[in-house]
Amino acid sequence: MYRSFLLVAVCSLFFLSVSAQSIIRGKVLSSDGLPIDRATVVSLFSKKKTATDSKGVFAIGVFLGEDSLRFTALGYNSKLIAVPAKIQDDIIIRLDKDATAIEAVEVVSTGYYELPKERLTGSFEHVSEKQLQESVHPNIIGRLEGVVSGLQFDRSEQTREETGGFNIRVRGLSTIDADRTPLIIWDGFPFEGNIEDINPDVVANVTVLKDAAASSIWGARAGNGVIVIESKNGREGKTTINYSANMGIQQKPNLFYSPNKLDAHEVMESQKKLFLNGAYTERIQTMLPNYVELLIAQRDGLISEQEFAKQEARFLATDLRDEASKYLYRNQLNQQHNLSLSGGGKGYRYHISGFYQGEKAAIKGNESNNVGFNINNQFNLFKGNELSLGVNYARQHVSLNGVPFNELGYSGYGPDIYDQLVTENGEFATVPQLGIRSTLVGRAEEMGLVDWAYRPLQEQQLKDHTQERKSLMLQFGMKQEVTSGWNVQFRYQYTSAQSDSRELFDKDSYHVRDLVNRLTDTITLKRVIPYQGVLEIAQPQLSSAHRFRLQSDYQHSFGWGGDLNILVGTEISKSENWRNPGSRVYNYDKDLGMGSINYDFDKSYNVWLNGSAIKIPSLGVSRLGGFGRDLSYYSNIAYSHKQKYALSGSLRWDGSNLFGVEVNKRGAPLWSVGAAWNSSEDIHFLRQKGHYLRLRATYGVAGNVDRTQSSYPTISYILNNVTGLQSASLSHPGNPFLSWEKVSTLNFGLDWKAYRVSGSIEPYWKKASNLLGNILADPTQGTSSFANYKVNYADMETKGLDVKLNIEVMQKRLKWNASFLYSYVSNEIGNFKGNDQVNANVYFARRIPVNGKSLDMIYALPWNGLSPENGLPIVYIDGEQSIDYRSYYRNYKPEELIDAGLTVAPHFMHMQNQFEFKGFSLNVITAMRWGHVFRRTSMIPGGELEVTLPRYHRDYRKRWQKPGDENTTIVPAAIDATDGNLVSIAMNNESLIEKADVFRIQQINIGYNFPKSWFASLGVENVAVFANFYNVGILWRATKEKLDPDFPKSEYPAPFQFTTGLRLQL
Amino acid sequence: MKNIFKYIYLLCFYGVMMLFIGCGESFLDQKPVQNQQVPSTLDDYQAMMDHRYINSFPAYLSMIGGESFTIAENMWESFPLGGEYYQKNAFIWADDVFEGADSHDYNVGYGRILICNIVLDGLNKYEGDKSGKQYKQVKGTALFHRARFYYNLAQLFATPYGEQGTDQYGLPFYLTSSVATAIDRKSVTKTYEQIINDLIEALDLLEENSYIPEKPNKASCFAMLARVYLQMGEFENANKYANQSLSLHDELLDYNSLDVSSAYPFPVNGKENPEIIFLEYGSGGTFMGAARLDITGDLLDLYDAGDLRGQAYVNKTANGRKVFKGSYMGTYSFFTGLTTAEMYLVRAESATHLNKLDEALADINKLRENRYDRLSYILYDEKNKNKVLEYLFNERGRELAFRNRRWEDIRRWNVFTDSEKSLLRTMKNQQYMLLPNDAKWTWPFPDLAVQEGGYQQNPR
Repeated sequence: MYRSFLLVAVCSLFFLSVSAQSIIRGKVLSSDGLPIDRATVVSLFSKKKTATDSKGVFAIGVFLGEDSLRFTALGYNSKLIAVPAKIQDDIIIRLDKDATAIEAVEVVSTGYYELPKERLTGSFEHVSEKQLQESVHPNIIGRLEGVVSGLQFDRSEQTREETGGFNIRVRGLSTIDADRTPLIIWDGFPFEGNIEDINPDVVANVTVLKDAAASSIWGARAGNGVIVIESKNGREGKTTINYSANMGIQQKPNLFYSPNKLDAHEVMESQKKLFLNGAYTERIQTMLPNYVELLIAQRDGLISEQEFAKQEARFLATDLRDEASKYLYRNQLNQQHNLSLSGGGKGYRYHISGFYQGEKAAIKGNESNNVGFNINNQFNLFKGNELSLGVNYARQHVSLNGVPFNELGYSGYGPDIYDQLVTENGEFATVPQLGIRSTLVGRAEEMGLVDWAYRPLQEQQLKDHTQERKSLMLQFGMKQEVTSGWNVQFRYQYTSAQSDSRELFDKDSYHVRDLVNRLTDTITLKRVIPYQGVLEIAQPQLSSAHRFRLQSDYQHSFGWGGDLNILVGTEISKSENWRNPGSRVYNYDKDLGMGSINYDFDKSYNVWLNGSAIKIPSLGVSRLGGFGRDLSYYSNIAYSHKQKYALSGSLRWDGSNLFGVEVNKRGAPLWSVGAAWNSSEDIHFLRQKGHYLRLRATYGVAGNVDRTQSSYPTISYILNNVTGLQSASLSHPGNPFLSWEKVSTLNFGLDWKAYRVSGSIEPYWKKASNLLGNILADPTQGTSSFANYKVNYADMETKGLDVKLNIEVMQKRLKWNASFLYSYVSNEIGNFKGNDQVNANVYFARRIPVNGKSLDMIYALPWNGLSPENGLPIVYIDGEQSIDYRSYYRNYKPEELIDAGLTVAPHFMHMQNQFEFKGFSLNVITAMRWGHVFRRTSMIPGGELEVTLPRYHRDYRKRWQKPGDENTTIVPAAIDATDGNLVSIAMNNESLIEKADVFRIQQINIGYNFPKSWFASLGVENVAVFANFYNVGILWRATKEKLDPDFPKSEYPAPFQFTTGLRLQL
Repeated sequence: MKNIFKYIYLLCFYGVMMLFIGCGESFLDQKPVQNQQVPSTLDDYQAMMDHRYINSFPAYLSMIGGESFTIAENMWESFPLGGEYYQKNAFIWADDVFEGADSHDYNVGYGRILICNIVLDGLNKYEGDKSGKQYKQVKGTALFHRARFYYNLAQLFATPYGEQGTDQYGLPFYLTSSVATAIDRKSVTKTYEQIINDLIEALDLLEENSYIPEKPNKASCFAMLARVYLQMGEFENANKYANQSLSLHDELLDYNSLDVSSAYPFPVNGKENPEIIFLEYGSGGTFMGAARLDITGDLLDLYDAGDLRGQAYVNKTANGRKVFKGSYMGTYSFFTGLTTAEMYLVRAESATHLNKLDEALADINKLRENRYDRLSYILYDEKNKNKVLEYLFNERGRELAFRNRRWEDIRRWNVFTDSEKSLLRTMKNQQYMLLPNDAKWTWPFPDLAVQEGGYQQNPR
């Protein structure tokens, strides 16, 4: 329908001049002040129709005073106005964006140019401000989850307590070893800072560039996709003030989630067994578990039987997870405030905003405070001129004074599950620490040492560790219209950032006391470092960059209905980063602020009673600089014919100061071509029905640069601090056959709108070639000792499909909009030049490419059940059952490994249901991922009986105990001594591969917009409140284990979070 | 008025544009990291040879497999799995030492050789003056180090020089940095020939004085030649070069002047230690760390009451462990370099083989004088050649304890003397023997080298 309207409207333009009625002229703008191209203007009385031009300007003949005009534009709510009896000036019409329409005429920004989506051929995905506001994620990238198709958030690599992190993939993988993160563009320039420096509230929109036609304009770094972030600008009109605030609370993490724990009685049983076997070495520098100390005291008659029983009962009644949860963790609290001012007059627009973001992390003592501001100004000095000035400043202050549950001990050694953090008397409890026995800790002072006890809760109070990061960005832009349709623009950006870290170790901190004691002479008891505080100022890091861009755009509309856009430009950037010397000040008195660095840091001192020698810890004293230089030339051309056909092409050359590379290899030309056809314009049937159908195809080449590689040998100078000579280490042996990674992408797209259903289907093929990686080479060549020596060793083919579906289920008073984003992506390694691995076991330790298989594939040994005789896994060597685990495991052929599955979901789908009723809105995002697996952990046979580093697992309770159990369990028997090969077989077989399919509610957002009339008298234009529920929960999962398939390696999954807030517009 | 602004403005614009066009390719010449360089000058090559790691060689296999020590049973049991696990296998000369893992000794050894080859290739292509002092010194240094690394590797992975019937098991060697072409194992004879050639060439290039023991000079080159020829059983040459080395540098450290009871009696990093001709340090890996290594009676019994080395080398800890403290590095890390004392012993051993017992005894006593407490020092005298050799074997054990010499001493001994030596280990009540003529005196090639390089594996 609309299409035909438009056609008529365009034609009618020619008749306007001959019309006899009064002509009304005006401009149609969007609510944010941008002109709306091709908006339809219909006079209801005179029945005239017209459309706006690219500047939003229209002119239409009307009957003054008795006519009405209806303005409609795709993606905007239509507006009806009465024509006044008298007209003096041009009228300005503002249309509000239709938030529910996905298939809106979006003006897509690639960071270099803006074009309406209709004229583009590539795969762009536009996310509006409103969509971004539906999420409360503190990080702008995190807000894209579930909103952009083909964008995958992978958390399977998160370990320990990192539940907030993710690896992001735009349409799967296109590299193996090089950086996999997409390129982020902020306000037209590559963003290399901390993503937290961008306040999500100043973001006007985000565009994700997925295929070659979209991203190749960004050149050599666009191989992993590009995310373009644009910040808000002011608009002409009265000043508006926006204030928004939200407060969030996140549940305390569930420390009982981790399966790698056993209860007190089970741990004590194992320790008693070991003790009775005489497994513990009783000497002063060997840490022993508290229960073992208790057993020793009982054996040696140092305590009465009653005392023993009392203590043992106390141990049995304690659970360190309860203690940690109570004393080390809390509910996380976040709050965020944003205030912005925007407006402008003739020739001047501004947008000023400031934010505060505070977080009291789940780990008590860890806090962060971020503040910042953003200013964007635009001036029109004279006709055809636009000048812009922007400033962004952000400061992040982090305190790291918490003691995480995982760090109670030292690299796995530490307190047992039955240990306390607070004693019955309410005092801080001492927990065992590596390298020193508790019995000695108690006697340290009488031996002439200082207190040697490690009390985690005391540390929590004494810690004083802060980090600060400041970043500044300045932008300046000039745009000048030279002649009609020809613009020249210049842009400049300066960024700088500084990060500092400072840690004060109190005199009473364990760090100081332990160091003082270890550096005390065994015989003379003379101290090497004084018993005073230590101040550590880590090496400050500074970085800065200048970026310039000069660009010329030409736009021309031909008489025959063709539109041409050409741009050529060049970009040059220069960056520096410095690491300055840090210092570690001893004998530091925090009240006086004085200390000393006059110690001999090269001398080795004997460690007290230990036999080894250490130096006094010190920090690096070099001042080291790094420099980046980039030079690019680029051009882009877009032609469209009568709204029907669109063609595009781009070409870019990128060069950078790659080191140790021949001059001709410093840069690479990259290009793309694309075409699109609006078939609904040509196919009569579709046009008649008012359906919309568009087909497009693109092909192009982008790249990936690995700055660590070089074709000549390169060396790094370093001072030899023994001889005092300038010396150099070989940093790269040089690879004369080096060439750059290349990613070619073929993309097809089909966009349609019919009845209430609109959407798009995009299949794509990516071929990444010359991928760099570590190859197994003959160590005789000498390159094996260089960890970063890479060769071009494989290709990778990525295939995928992105489907978007949007259904306007109901459009009455209750509006219900449902959208589905489904993606499929797979990759396959090809042309792998590495030789076959000798041994299967390396596939469990590292991810090694295999020809014809996905890089995400994990491998497993077969599972033949447990032996009824001893409850250990059954293995076959040459078809015969064997107990020679060693030769089975060591000689297992890699090609006989089982392909256990992919670690990253090949299928993922997000469903969004939006409801609106009066002022209320409800938005539910659910996520489904399937087709992938994870390797879970289980009981390590003999693990609980390892003396130095016992490894517990709750599957211990399901272990094989007697013949017959093999029919009901897959957990092997507990054995007395571990056998590394048996453990590897037990850990890496297919019985521990779990399906990771999951269906979860990602978030629910409930909002309410108060009627305008309520607050109008207060001068308040709009008031909205919302409540957001994030990480709501799992609706279904394929595995029967009580594990979150999205967090297979984490200590606990991301906890549930509730946020509430308001938005106010004055 | 407005128009004037417009023109000024456009002029600025034009200026900026010109600025852009002015930036040529040279803009990209800036090196990305301040301290980074593509080596091209003599200073660069010199700096590459002055790096600390050039002076190290981690001979895990021969240190763990050859030196006299043990570790506690619980340390044995809990020795961590992973990349260093082969150290545990090396202690008992297990059949499958590496179990598929990398050999640090092999990788580092060949990695250092690659650095020497990059320097030598660079020097060949050097367009400046090739007869200058610095050019010669750098080239001599690179040749010396390459020879030293090949020698160190030969003690681990090539069969003993002179052994009957195993001459084909020499090393594969690269003499240039272009390593793309596959190479074969050379014979043992060829391997040692290459080592000698490099050293002889270096001899003419190296300066007489290098001022610090980290840099090789003529004396260190003579000393290295003496060490290699002794190992080859060419006693004339060994004697000659030890003699030449000592003629340049013969100072000994009198242990009577040391505080042998201190935690580490020798100066840190060998600074000002007059005995050091060339500084090289090694490592016994995690397995021989201070927390694990216990010195046993095998070694302790060698020291007489008056032998100051017994006190200077052994630290008796409060809990009764005996830990090594006698490294010339002045810390726990093991010194494996060349000393004047070793040259006296090489000269004595070769003289004995050449039946010049008087000369041998003079050298032996010269060393004893500097090692014994003045009050208990007595002259050593012996007329039986075999007894002198036996004495020298033990004296090398005493003097060169934890200097990575015992492994090659026994290899040499079993080829060039009539008496035979073996090694014995006891762990968890099990005895392990390494008998003379056992193929295990040569370590296997790492699995990866055999797989990727296609080399013939050593017999085992």
